[in-house]
Amino acid sequence: MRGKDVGVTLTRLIETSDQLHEHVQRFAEGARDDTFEQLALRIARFQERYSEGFRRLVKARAAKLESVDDIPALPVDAFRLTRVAAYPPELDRVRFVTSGTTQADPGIHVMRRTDTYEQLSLRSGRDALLPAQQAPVANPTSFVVVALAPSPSDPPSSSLGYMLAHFIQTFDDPALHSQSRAGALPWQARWLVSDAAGVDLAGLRHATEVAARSGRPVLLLATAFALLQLLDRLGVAKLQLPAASVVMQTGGFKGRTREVSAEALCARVGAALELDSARVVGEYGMTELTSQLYEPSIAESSLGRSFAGAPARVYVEPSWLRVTPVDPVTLMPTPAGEVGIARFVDLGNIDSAVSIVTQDLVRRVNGGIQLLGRQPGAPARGCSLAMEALLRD
Amino acid sequence: MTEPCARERRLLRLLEAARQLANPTTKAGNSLRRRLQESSGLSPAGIELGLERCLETQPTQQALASLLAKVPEAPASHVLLSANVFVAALRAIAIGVVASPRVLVRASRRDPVLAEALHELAPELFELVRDLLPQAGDHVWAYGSDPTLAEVRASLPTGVHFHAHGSGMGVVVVEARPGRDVLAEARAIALDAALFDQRGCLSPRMVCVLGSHDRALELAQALASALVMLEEKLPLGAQSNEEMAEVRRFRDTASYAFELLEAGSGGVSLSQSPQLLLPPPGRNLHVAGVGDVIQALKPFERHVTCIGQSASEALRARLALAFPHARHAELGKMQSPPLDGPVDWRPPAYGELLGSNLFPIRNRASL
Repeated sequence: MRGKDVGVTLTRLIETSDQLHEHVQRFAEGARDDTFEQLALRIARFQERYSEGFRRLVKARAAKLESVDDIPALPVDAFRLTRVAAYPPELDRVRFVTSGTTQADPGIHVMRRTDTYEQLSLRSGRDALLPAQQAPVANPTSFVVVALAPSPSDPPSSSLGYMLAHFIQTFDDPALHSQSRAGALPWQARWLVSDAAGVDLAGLRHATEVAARSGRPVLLLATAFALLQLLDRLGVAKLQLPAASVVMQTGGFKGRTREVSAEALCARVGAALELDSARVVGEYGMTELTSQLYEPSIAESSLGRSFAGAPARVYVEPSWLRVTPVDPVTLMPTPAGEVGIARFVDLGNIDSAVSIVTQDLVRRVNGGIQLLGRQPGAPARGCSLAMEALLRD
Repeated sequence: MTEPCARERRLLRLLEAARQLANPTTKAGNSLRRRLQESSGLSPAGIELGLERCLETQPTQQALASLLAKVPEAPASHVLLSANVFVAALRAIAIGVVASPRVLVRASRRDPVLAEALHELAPELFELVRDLLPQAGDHVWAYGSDPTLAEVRASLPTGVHFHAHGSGMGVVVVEARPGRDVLAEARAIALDAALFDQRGCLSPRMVCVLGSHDRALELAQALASALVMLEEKLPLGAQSNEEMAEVRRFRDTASYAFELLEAGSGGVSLSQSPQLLLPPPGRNLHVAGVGDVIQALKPFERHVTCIGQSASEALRARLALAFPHARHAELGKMQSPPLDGPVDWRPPAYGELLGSNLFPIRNRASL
C-alpha cells in the first residue's frame, strides 16, 4: 500500500473508531438509538476490517458476525502473546499490563482513547457504590476516597490503578485534595500501600479521622490481598469507619501465597471496620476488559435498588457488558442455570477485542452472575505438561 | 544385599514377560491389546505402534548395564504409576525390580492394564497394591503431574528416598542446513508427536527452527501435511472434554496471535517471532523461527525432558551443554529412549532423602 493509501485507511479507521466510542458512550448514558446487539456487531465488523488477528479468527471459526453469539470470543491468553488492537501501536494512549505471573509474559491491553474507559468505569462505580441521586448533579457525593493500593505509575500500567485514580478524583470533594488546607487529604495520602511498607494503617486512620471530622463517610477501594494485610496489621484491634462508609473489594490472590474465601473476607473486613458486611462490595474486572461487574449490595445505590434481594456473591453487569456462561469446547451458551466459562461481550473494547473468553467459571442467576472460580486446564494427566503449569511458574 | 546377578535376573524375567505381551500372536498379547483399547484412549493403530516402537523389549547390553548401575539397591521399592503413556509402566517397574526383590506397585487407576498384564505373567517380581506404605530406607519412584507428586512427597515418612518424575515436554530443534530433507524431518516429528497422542513427557510440543521465518514456514507446512497423512494410518484416539476445551483455546489463541495451519485433527501454529507457545496434547505443535535456540528454550528449561534434533555436531554439543538434564534424540526416536534408567533426567530424578536436610541421594553412577 502506498503512503497516501495508508494515511486514508488510518483516517477512516480513526473516524470509525471515534464514531463507535461516541455511540457506546451514549449507550452507557441510556440512549437507545442502537441496541446492544447492533453495537456489538458493528464493533466486531470494525475489528474484522482493521485487525488482522481478528480477521484470521473469524475465518478460522467460519463466523458470519450476524449475532452476538456468532462473534468469535478471543481467549485472554492472546493478550500475552500478541498485540490485541485494531490500530497501529503509535496511537497507543495507554498500555495496561496484567499482573500475577512471573515467568509467563504479562498480558497487555492497549487503548487508543481512555475517555470511554473513564466514563464506563465511573458510571459503573457510581451506580454500585454511591447513593442513588434523585436528580443529576455535577458532584453528587461527598465521600473521602482512599485506596489500599500503590500510587499509580506514570505512565499508568495498571488498569485498576487508573480506575481507582479516577474514582478518587471524581467521587470526593476536590477541596480535600488541597495541600495547604488544614484537614485536607492530599493526593499522595490517598494511596495506602507501598512496596516497601505494605499497608499504611496510620494513613488509613488519618483518612478516617479527616472523614469523621468533616462528617463524610469513607469509600475504601482495595484489593483482596491488601485487605488481608490490613486485617493482619489490625490484629484484634478495630478501626471504625464512619457510618455509611463503603469498601470496594476487587481482585483475587493470583500469584499470592494466601487465599481466603470472599465470604470470609467480607465478614472479617466488616467486623474489623465495624461495617455491615453488605457494605463490603465485590467488584470484578480484568485488564483485558474495559468494563466491570459489581455486587448490588449497597441498598441505597442505583444497582442495589434495581437488584434488591439479589443473593449474596452475585455480580451484575452494566448494560454495555454481557457475560454468558459458555461450553468450553463449543463456546456456545450453556443451558439456563448451568455453569460455563465466562464469555464477555464488552462494548468498551472497541479498539481491542469486543468478545473475550476466560477460564473463569460462571453461572447466571437472578439477573446476575455467580463467579465460581477457575476452570482447571485439561487436568495434568500424568507426566504431560499442561499449559497452566507454565503460567503458574 | 542382593547379588548383582539376581537383580539382572529379575530384570530379564520382566523383559521376557514384556516380549510376550508385545507379540500379538500370543494369548497375553492379544488380551493386552483388547484391554488397552478400553483404558488408554488410543486408537488400535496407536496402541500397536506404541507396543512396536516404544515398549523396550530388546534393550542393548549397554543400556541394561547402565540401568543396573544407576538404580540404587533398596530394602523395598515402591512404584507409583501414572497413565498417559501405557508402555511407561515397564520401565518404571523395571527400575523397581532392579532396586529390590520386594516391589510394590500402585498402578494408575485410569490405565492399570500393562502393569496388571506384566503381573499376570511374572507375579513373583512385584505386588500390585492399592496403597503404598513405604518405611524409612525404602525407595519410592513416583510418576505423575507435579501437584500429584507434591502431595505424595508430603505424605511420605522421614527417611524414605523419593524419586519424583513430574510433568514435562519434548521440544524439537531443527537447524536449516544444506541438503537436509524437510519432508523427512516433518514425517519424523509428526510420528514423535502422534505416538500416545502427544500425552507423554517426551512428546514434542514446540519446534524451534534455527533461521528465518521462511525456514520455519517451510517446515510448518510440511509438518501439517505429514500430520494429515499420518492420521490416515494412525487416527487420533478419544479425547476428554477437558482436552477438547484446551484444543479449542489453543486454536483460537493461535489463529489470532499467529498463523494456524490445519493438520487433520490437530493444528500447527506458526509465529513470526521467536515467541513460543505450548500447544495441548493431541496432534498440535507450535513452530517458530529462532535466532538463538538456547535463549529461546531457556525459559522452559525445567520442563524440557527431551530435545529431538536435526542439527550439526556443533549445535548438538551446545544443546547438550545447555540442557544437561534433557534426553537428546534423533527425530523420530524421541519416544523410544534406551532402557538405561528413568526417562526423565531432570533433578531430583535421582532422588532425595526425605526429612534429612533433603540432600540428594548419591548414585552409583552419575549421568
